[in-house]
Amino acid sequence: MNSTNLFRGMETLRREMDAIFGALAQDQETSVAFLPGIGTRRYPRINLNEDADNYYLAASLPGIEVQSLDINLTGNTLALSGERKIEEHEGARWQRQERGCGKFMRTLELPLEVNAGKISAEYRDGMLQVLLPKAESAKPKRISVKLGNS
Amino acid sequence: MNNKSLVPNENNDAKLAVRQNFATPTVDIFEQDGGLTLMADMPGVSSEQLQVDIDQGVLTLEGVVNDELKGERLFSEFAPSGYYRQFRLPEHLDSDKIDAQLKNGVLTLILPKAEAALPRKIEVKMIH
Repeated sequence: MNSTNLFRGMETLRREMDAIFGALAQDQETSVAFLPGIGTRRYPRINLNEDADNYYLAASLPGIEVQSLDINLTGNTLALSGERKIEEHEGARWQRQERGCGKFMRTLELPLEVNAGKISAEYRDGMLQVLLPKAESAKPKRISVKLGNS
Repeated sequence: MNNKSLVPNENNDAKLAVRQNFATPTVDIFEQDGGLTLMADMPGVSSEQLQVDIDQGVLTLEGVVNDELKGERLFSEFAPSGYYRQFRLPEHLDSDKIDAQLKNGVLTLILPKAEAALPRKIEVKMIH
């Protein structure tokens, strides 16, 4: 019990550090987002939930045209890609520029097989929600045990 | 927020407690000849859940996210609960003509300059 707690603590610390430095790096990289290597950046931020039948994925993607969003499934790997267009503003004198833009791609390994034909995705209010039904073969099956006569 | 009384307001306290988990939205602010434009990323906020207030020259953006993801959490990189940010506005803006639009989780606020602050060309008449 003790050892699992220790690892959990380290994991939490690692995540926090990642979040801090990730956020810093993201700020610096906003202007070079179109350069290679963006796949390593943690963008977009995602949440993954599951229940017995489905995986639920949410990605925070403000200000994206739906047409530019691309969701691909290869085996168990889900790839999210798209582009946030650079907006041109004529004669703009910038006072603050915190929002990044450019192309992004993120891949995610799903723990179990999903039914590729039944994946559905919805984009609303800058949030992408993907529903991934688990494949029948990946669902746990209950095996009934018969009482033998002896 | 308009309540200036010293008596603690339970309603306000509850609001503050909720806001503790709020994120600061990232913004772009730029100036063009006609005025200022502010763009803020607030993914997950619908127009009903968004409040844009101006009170005594302070612009407040506040939005609540209600999207709860179904199921049990496997992993989570963001916890959308809401956004909150305040800005002090310059005085030369016309607060009656502010235009706000929310599209795909991006708020665009157009804050036009007051007539008096716009550059004006003065015709010089020749008097013979």
